[in-house]
Amino acid sequence: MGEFEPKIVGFFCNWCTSSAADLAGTSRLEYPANIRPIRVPCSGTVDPVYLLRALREGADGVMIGGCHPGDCHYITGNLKARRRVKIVKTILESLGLPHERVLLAWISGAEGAKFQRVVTEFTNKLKEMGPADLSKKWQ
Amino acid sequence: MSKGAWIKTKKDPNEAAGWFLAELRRKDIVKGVMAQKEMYPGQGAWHYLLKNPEDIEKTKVFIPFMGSSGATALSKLTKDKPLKDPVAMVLRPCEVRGVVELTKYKQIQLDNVIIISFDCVGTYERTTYLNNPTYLPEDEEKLRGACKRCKRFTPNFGDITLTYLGISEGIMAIPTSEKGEEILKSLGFELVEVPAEREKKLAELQEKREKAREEQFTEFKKEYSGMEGQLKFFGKCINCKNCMENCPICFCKECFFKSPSLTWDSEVYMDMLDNKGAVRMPEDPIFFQWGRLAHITPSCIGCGLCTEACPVGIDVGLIFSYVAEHVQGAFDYEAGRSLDESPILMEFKEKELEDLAM
Repeated sequence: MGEFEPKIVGFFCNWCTSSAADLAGTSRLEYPANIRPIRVPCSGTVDPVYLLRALREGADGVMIGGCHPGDCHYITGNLKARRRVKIVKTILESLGLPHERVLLAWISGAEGAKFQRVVTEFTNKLKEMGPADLSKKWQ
Repeated sequence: MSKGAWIKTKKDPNEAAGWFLAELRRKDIVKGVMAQKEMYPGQGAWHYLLKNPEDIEKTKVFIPFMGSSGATALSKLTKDKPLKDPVAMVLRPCEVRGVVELTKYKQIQLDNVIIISFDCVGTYERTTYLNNPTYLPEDEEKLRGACKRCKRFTPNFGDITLTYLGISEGIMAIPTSEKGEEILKSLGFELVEVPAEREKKLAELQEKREKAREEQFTEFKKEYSGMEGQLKFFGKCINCKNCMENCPICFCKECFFKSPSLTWDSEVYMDMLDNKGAVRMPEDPIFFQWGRLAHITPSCIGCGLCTEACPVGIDVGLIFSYVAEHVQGAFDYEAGRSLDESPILMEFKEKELEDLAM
């Protein structure tokens, strides 16, 4: 059996991180194929239950990519996302569950290189953490 | 030192409170009174909106029974249209907190609502109460877990606070707003010093409650942390969603957990089977419960009605109170504390939580 390859579900804002992912590709910046991107209209549309559902269905990590504060196409969507992520992380942490498997990143449409860096770092961290036993037990 | 009206027309606290409420109606200060009343002895006391003073006199304000939330009742009354005439709402402190939260979510309109609350010693579990009905919470041991760990048993919002703690006979009605003071004066009451004994009793209770709270939370953390712990905690869940139905804070008309998003065709189930090797029926309770934690804990008021509603005996309220303390603490927010604080998911700041995102 080869090295453990974590599965990551990414919720990427249409206006920034999705473009950044494209930019990374067209700039031929290589990043791990572990990420499964889902394009959403805004990071603020991602309800905590989507993050939880991804973890339940077997994701080893979930990531939300949104615009930098102040840059949201809908003014405050990314700030909503930030509070929601804080809530989910606090819940997981208080219940003794690995909140590190949830990641929030601000990646603008111009930051192809940052996209590459964040995805690589997150993948490496999840590799270190090993497979999430959450979904195995969580039937 | 606070001042209040000493109501001694009846010796028994419930009768004195009933007399006082009836007086509000007799003097035409309100058009109706909502309070808990037994329809039939031994069937529990439910919220009734009452008109006749004779009926109002029979309400049991301090009864150690809470089957549903007065906050939900007030939301039903005023959500679509504010009250035209004044109505007195008798609410427990946790229900008052619910009213504060629901008002902020625009589910209650407070026009013409007179909130009368009281120092609440607690309520018994439903079955305990129904097996042995009593009208004052005298046995600390029988209290619900939520009441044993309640640290906000004195109302911090409303117009009048009733109390029998440290009062030798009858009750005292302490005004907590200008409107409350006006009402008491217009009824012809003279405001006198509240006996210091009340403060002493409240302080004793506070200490006891905070200790119990810490003990309960420590025990919960020890027993139910991690995935194994959570499976043990929610293993019995039948996914009936009664906890959700009974929750005063859960007000959405269209619920994600009842939406078609969670009904799948056979292919999806077979995919799940492939991925995980097993699919629980009725469907996974932990997803529902954690999802609800994410939705509700920002405003959870710790009333424990979810525990009361659970048919299989899961102490849902315990995990909600425990997680709510962390979630609300993270934002320096306390559900029901003040009408002026925006709920966690209604206020967004550009400069906050700056270490959270990469």
